[in-house]
Amino acid sequence: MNCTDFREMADSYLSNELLTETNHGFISHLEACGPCRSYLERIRNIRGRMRDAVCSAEQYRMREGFERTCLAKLREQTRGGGQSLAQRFFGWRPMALVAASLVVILGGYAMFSSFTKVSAEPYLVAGLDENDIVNVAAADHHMCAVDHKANLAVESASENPLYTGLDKLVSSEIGSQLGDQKLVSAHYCKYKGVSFAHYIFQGDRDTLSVLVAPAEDVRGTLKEEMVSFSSPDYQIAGFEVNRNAVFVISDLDREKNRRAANALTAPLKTHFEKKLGFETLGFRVFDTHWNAIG
Amino acid sequence: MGLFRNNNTGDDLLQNFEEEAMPFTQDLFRVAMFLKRNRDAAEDLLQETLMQSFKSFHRYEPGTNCKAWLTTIMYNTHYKQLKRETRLSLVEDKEELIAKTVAFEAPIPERITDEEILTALEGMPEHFREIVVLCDVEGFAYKEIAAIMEMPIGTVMSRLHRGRKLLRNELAVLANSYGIGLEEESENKKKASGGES
Repeated sequence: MNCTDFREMADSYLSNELLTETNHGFISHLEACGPCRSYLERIRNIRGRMRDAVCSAEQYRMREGFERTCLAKLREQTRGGGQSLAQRFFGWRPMALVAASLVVILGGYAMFSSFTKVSAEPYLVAGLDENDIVNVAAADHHMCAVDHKANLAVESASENPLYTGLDKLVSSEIGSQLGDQKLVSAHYCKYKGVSFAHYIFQGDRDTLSVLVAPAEDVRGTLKEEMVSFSSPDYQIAGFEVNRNAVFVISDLDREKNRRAANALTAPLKTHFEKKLGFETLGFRVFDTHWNAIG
Repeated sequence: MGLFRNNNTGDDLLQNFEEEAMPFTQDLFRVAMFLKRNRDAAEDLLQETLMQSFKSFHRYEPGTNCKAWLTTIMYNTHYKQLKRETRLSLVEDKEELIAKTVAFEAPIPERITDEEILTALEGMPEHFREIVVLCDVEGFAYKEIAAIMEMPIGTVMSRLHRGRKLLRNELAVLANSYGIGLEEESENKKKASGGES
């Protein structure tokens, strides 16, 4: 190794990022070359100085009490807005007993009134297979729009000419139904073999996805009405229009989510008719048992 | 899958979150300050990050790097806010343009103040500064930075390389204005251009 190579690698050495073999060559050169030793020392020093300067600078320090403020907000979120009047009146022990009894009663009711299995992931609809198109869409919304781990499972997909111009249409319809929701992303993505046109809306506190996929990507039976689903995390409304499956998925309440989906039915029908160049019989809705291909 | 799933009540989850995640709030605030350049906006970003992280905490896998997990969520929250606030298109060759200005590696000044180091760091183009801060201040590995910023590891390495050179050049300019480092510069140039050992 020569001095130029050594200096090129010096930073990676300090970050412990050199391969073992390169590390050996680096250390041999370090032991033999005085100027390079001093070069390494100086960049180590400047890096340490920079870290200390940033960590001790007043402008990068949180103001006192801010962490407590954040914690208080988290507690508030966990407890749904702090103590209720009943809690304040009765104290926490009797309330805890009542709450525990309620959990037992409701849990028992849920067990005996439904044989649907509990979802493994809170974004999936319990009782549906995880490859069911509803759950494929729910998982895509979760990973792509909410959890931001799209790179792990969701691939990007190629553009579908049938969906050109949908971003404006969807944005205007969702915007007129739910004023605070703004379109923040319009892209194509693919999950479990289903290629979606994905429109992500961000409200003050909520995230909403409109997912549109060609019917060729999914299979199953169809029926004639809008279908709504709930998972622990999301509300899902789905319908089929001109052989395209459409989902509206959000953490809004059921009524708002369904209203947003309803608002899309007629404009999407017109859009696809124009694109396809013929009149269709209207929109139909698929049932709970479509499965994704792939 | 996280160990915190299923059997935990909201209070248990909050307690776990307090123990695992809250110790990193000061580190996260620093990152937020570099992203937002404004205290109020940084506080908002940190608060939103903590809310989002808490919401997804059942998906955190204990034993993995919690600070990296939280920083990833902070970056995603920041990108989301940026998208909402403005729609800017990236200038494709910006990085190349900057790279051309980094023609040589300057000597390393030793008598520079903390303020000057901060001025040089804050004056760097954003996409170099972010990576230098994540690596050299916050101590993330290249692989972790690639995951946080959702970019290939090769891009992380090349930006780090260029970013560090930019920073040292900037510090050298400062040092030279005080007459520091000039002798070292000529010695180093000689050494790096011809020296083999």
